[in-house]
Amino acid sequence: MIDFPEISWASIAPQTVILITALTVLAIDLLPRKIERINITLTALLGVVIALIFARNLTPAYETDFSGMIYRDGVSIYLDQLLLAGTALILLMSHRYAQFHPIAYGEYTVLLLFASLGMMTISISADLITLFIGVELLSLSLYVMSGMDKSSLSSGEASVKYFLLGAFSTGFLVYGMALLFGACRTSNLVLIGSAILDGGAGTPLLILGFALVLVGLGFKISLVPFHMWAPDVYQGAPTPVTAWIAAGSKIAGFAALLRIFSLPGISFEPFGGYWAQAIWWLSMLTMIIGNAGALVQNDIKRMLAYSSIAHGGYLSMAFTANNTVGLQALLFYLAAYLFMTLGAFAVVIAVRRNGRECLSIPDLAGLARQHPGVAGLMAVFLFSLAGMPFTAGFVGKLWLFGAAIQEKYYLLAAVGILTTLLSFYYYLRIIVFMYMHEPQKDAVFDAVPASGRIAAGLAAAGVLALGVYPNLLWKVLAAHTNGL
Amino acid sequence: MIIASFIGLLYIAGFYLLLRRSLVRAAIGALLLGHAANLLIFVSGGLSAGAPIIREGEDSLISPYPDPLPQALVLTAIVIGLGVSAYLLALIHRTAEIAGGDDMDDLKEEE
Amino acid sequence: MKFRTSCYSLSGASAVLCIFAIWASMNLDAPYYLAFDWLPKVGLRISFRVDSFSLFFVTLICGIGSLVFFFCAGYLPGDKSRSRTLSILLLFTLSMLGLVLSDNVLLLFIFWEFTTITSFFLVGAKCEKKEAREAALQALLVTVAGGMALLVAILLLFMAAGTLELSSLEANRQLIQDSPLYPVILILIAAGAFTKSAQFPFHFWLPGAMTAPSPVSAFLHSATMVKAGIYLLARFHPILGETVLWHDLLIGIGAATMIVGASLALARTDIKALLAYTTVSALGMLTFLLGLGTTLAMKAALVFLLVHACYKAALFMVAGSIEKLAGTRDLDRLHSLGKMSPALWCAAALPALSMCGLPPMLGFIGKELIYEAKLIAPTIDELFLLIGFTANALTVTAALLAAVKPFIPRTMDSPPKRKLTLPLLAPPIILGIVSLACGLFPTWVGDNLLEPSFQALKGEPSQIKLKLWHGVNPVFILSVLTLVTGALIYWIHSYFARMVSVVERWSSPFAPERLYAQLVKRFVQFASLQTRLAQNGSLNFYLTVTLCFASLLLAAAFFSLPEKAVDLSLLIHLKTSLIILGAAAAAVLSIRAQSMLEAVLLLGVVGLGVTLFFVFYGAPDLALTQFLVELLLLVLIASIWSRLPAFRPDTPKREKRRDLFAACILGVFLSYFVLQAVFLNEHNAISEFYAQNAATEAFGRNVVNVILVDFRALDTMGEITVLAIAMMGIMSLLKTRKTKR
Repeated sequence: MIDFPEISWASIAPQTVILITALTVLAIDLLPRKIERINITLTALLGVVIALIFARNLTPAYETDFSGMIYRDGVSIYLDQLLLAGTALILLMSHRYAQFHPIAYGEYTVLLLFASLGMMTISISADLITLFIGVELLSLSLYVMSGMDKSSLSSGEASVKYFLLGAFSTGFLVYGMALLFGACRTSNLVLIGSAILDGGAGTPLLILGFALVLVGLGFKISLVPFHMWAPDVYQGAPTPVTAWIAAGSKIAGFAALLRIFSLPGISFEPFGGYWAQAIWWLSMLTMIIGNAGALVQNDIKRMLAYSSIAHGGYLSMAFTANNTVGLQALLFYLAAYLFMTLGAFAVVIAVRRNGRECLSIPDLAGLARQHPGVAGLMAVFLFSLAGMPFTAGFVGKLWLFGAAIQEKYYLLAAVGILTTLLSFYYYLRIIVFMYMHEPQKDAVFDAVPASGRIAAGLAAAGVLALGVYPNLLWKVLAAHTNGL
Repeated sequence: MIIASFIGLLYIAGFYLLLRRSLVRAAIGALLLGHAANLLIFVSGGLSAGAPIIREGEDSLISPYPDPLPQALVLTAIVIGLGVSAYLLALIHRTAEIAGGDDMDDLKEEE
Repeated sequence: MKFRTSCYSLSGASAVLCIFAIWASMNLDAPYYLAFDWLPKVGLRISFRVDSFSLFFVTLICGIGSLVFFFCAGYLPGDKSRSRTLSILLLFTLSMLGLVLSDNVLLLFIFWEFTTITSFFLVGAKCEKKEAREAALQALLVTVAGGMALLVAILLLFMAAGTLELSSLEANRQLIQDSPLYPVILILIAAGAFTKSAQFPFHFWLPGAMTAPSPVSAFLHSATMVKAGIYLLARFHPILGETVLWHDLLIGIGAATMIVGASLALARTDIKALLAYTTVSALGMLTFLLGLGTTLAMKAALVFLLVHACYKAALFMVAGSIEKLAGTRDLDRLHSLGKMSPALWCAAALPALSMCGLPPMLGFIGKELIYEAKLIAPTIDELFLLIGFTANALTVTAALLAAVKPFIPRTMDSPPKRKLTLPLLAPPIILGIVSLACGLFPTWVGDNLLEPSFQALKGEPSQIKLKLWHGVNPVFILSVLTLVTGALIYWIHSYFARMVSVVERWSSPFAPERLYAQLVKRFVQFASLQTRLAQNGSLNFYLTVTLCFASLLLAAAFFSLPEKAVDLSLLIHLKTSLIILGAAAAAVLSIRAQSMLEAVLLLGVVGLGVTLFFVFYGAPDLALTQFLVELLLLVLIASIWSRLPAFRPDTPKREKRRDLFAACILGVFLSYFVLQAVFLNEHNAISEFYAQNAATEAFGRNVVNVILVDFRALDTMGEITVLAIAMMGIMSLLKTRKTKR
C-alpha cells in the first residue's frame, strides 16, 4: 500500500471550488444549446459563495503546506475573502454590462474566475514559482478580458498595450525571482527568509532580486513610474474588466508584496533601509503624479485610473512604515479600496444615458434629479475615495497616515494629506456635476436594473459599515495578523 | 563567463527589439527575453554534468548531479512561455487586421 | 403645505433643545461624559463631553437654528431644491452639535469636516449659477485645506500626549507645551481654525460663499459654522495657550482680519457681501480676544459671541427679506424700503443698534467689555487699540449702511406698501428683542449662561459681572467716540469706499484670492502638462521609460555592491562554447533582420542553441520541452504567416541608436549580475530533499518529473490553467476574424 502523505486539502478549498466553478461554467458554455446569461451568472455566483463559505471556515495554520508551496495564514484567509467578495460584485456588474456589449459571456465568466483564481493563488503562495504562476494566471486572463469587447477598437488597443507592457514587467519579475533563487538557492519564501537571517546569502544580489521583483509587482499595482499603462488600459477595457483590474489586480499585487516581504521569518534587518527608502520614493511619486493626473481628466474611467494609481501610493506607505500598525492599516485599506472602487465602477456601469455608457464626467450632469438613489451611492463612494469621515476611506487613510507618522515619516504623511486635499477637488467635481448641474438637453437616463443596484448597494454597505464601525474588521485583522 | 555574456546578449537583443515600433520585432524580442530568463534560472542552479535521473537499483541521485529543482522551474517557465507567446502571436495577428499594420504608434488613440 | 410644516416642526424642536440647553447649563455642576470605543487602535473614540461651554454653543446653534428654520418657511418655497436645502441644513445642525459636544479631537475633526461638506452643498444650492458652483468649491477647498492641517496637528498631538481626549489633553498641558512639536501643532491647529473662521489671509471664501440662500448665510456663515474655528481656539486655549507664540499669532492675525474685513466691507454694494466682510471683521475681533487670553478678554469674547450671533443672523435674514421685497440686494438701488414695509424697518433697526453698540442693547455691553479688556491688557501696543477702534467705527458705518440706508426714502413719491409673510419678519424681530432683553437684564444672562461657560472653559470663575451702566469712564468715552466716528464716516462713506476700492485695485495682484486662483490654475496647468508629456499614448514611450527606470535601479545596485571582482575562470566545454557562440551570433543578427523569414529563422537558431545547451548540461527533459515548444511556435507562425503584416523599414537611426544604447546598458548590468549569481553555488537542503525522496516517496526515477507531477503538482495545475487561458484568449481573438468577414 502506498501511504499518502498528509495533505490538508481544506486549506485550498476556496481555490479548488473556484477552479471547479470555472470548469463547470466552461462546460455549460460549450453545450450546444444557447444558454441564458442569467444561468451563467448564477452558476458562477453560486461557486463564489460556496468558496466564500469555505474561506470563512478556514483556520489559519502558520506553516507551509503542499511541499512548501502554500502558506495558509490569517492574512491569506482574509485576502481570499476580500477577493471572493470582489468577484461576486464584478459578476453582478458584468451581467448588466454584457447586455449592451458584444462579449462572449461564457468565456468571459470563465476568464474572470480564472483571474480570481490567480489572485487567490498569489495570496496563499509561499513559493516564488507558485506566486509567479498566480501572477501569470491573473495577468493572462485580464489581458484577454480587456480585449473582449469586440465592438470597440480601444478595447483591442488596451489589450495590446496591457499585454506588451505586462509581459515586459513580468520579465523583470522573473529575472528578480531568478536572482533571489540564485542568491538563496531556494524558491521557498520561508527558506529565503531563514537564508537572509543566516546572513549567508549574498546581500547585494538579494537587494537586486527584491528590487526587480518590486519593479515587476510595481507594474501590477501601478506605482509611478511603472504606471504608464494604467490610464490607457482603464479607459479602453470593458468597464467591469477595468473595475477588476483596478481592484482585484491591485489587491493581488499587494498580496504578492505582502507574501514576499512580510512572511514570518523574513527579516529586513540586513537591508531594511534600502527597502523603506525605495518604497518611500515610489509612494511619494505615486501619490503626487496620481493625484495630479486625476485633476485634469474628463473621462470617468481615466479619472478613476489615476485615482487608483494614487491609492496605490497611499497603500504602499504601509510598506515604508513596515510596522504592525502599517500592515493592519494596509489590510483594512485594501478592503475599503475594494468596496469603494468597485462601487464607483458599479455606478458607472449601471448608469446609462439614452442607451449609451456615461463615460465623460459631464455626462453625469443632473443625475441626482433623475436617479437620486444611484447618485447618492456614487457620492458615498466618491466621498470615501476622498477620505470623508464615516466612510471606510477615512478610517483607512487615518490608519495609514498614523502608521507613517508613528515611524516618523512626517514628509510622507504630509504629502499624503496634501494630495488627499487635491483629491477632494476632482472627486467633488463629479458630485458637482451630479447634483448641481442641469441635465444636458434631451438627456434621459435609462432605468437602473436590479443587478446594478445590488452591486452598488452592497459596495456602499461595505464602505459605510467599515467607516462607521471599523471595529467590525479590526477584530478580524487583529486575529489574522497576530502571526506577523 | 561565456554563458553570462550570452544571456546578457540575449537580453540586449531582446530589449532592443522590444523597443522597436514594429510589433513583430517586439514579439521576437519578447521571445528572446524568454530564452534569456529561462537560461538564467537554469544557470543559477549551477552547472554540472549528468542528469537528475535516479539509476535502476539506487534510491537517490549519485553525486555529481545537476540540481533538479531549477530544471523543474525552467520547465514550468518554458510551458508558460509557450502559452504567452502563442497568445502574443494571435494578438499581433488581430491587431494587424484591425489597424492594418504593425506599428505600435498607430495604436495611439486619435485625440 | 408639507414643506412649511417640516420647517415649523424643525424650528420647534430646535427651540425646545435650546431651552433645554439653557436649563442644563444653569444646573450642570460638573461636565457630563459619554464615551464608546470606536477604533482605539488609532485613538478614535466616540466620546462626548457636555459642559457649560459646549452648552453655550448648543444654545447658540439651536436658538439661531430654530429661527432660521422658521425663516426658511417663508424664504425657501418656490425654490426647486428646497427640500434638499432643508435636509442639508438639518444635517449641518447635527454635525455642528456634534462638533461642540465631542471630547475626542478626532471625533471633533470628523464633525468639522461634515460641516465643511454640508456648507459646500448649501453654498452651491443655487447651482444653476456658475459663480455659485465656483464659490462652493473655493469655500470647500480653503476649509478642507485647513481641515487637513488640523488632522496633522491631531496626529502630532497624539504622538506628543498619547491621548486625543480634550479633557485629558488639558491635564497633559505641560507635556505638550514642552514637546518640540509644540510650535508645529499650534500653527497647524491655528491654520485649521483660521480657514474655518475666515481669518486673513483666508478670509476671501466667506464673501464668496454669499451666493448661498439667505437663511444659510444667516446660520452657517455668520452665527455658527464660522464660529467653529473660534470654538476650537477657545477649547485649545487651556491646552496650548498662554505662550508667546499663541499670543503673537492670534493677536497679529486677529487684528489684521479685523481691519481688513471692516475696510473692505464699506466698498461693497451688495448687502450680503457687506455683512460678510463685517463678519470677517468680527471674527478677527474674537481671535484677537482669544489671543489676549486674559480673564476679561475671554469673558468679552463670550459676550461678543452671543452679541454677534444675534445681530448678524438677524441682519442676514433681513437681507433675505429685502431681496424678496425689492428683488435686489444692491445698496445703490435700494431706497424707501421703510415706506414699503415698516415692519421690516423695525426688524432691521434693532439688530443694527446692537451692531453699532448703542445702549441699551447687548452690543453695547459687549463693546464696553472689549474696550476694557484692551485697555487693561498688560502686553499690547497702542497700535492694536487704534486698530480695534477703527474697526469698530467702520462696523458702525457698515451697520448704518446695511440697515438704515435702504430704508430711507430718496424720492418723495411713496412706493406701494407690501406685506411680508410672518416667517420672513418674525425671526429677525425676535433676535432683536433678545438683544434688547439681554441688554436690559445683563446680570441674568451673565450669571446663568456666560459665567458657567467661562468656568467650564477656564476652570475658575471670572468674577466679572455684566452691567449696562459703568459710569463715565475711559471705556465709555471710547464707545461714544466710536459711534461718532462711525456716523461721520457714514457721512463720507462714498469717498471712503472709493479710496478702499483704489487700494484694493492696487493691491489686487497680491490679494489672497488671486493667489488662490493662481495656485489652482498653476496646479491644473502642471497636472495637464505632466499628463500630456507622460501619457502620450505611445506604447514605445512607456516601454522606454520603464526600461530606463529599471536601468537606473540596476546601476544603483551595481554601484552599491561591495565586491566587484568576479572569478572568471569557469570551465566551459569547447562544444558548448561553439553552440553558444552560434546562438549569440544569431541573436545579434536578429537585431538587424530585414525580413520576417530571416528574423524567424534566426529566432529558431537561438532556440536550438538553448536546447543544445540544455542537452549538454544534464537537462534532457528541458531540452525535449524546449525543442517541442520551438517547433510548435514555428508551426504557429507558419500558420498565420500570410496574415502577418509585412516588415516595414524601421525607425530613424537616431532613435535606434538611443534604444540600442539603453538596451546595452541594461544588458551589461544584467549579465554582470548573472555572473554574481552563478558563482554562489552551494547545494541546498531543499534540492537534496528532492534528490533523496523522489524514488522512495513518490516512486519516480526522473527527479524533475517527480517534482513537477508530485511534489509541486499544484504549480503544474496552475501552469495548465495558464495554457488553457491562453487557448481561450486565442480562440476569442480568432473568432473576431470570423465575425468580421
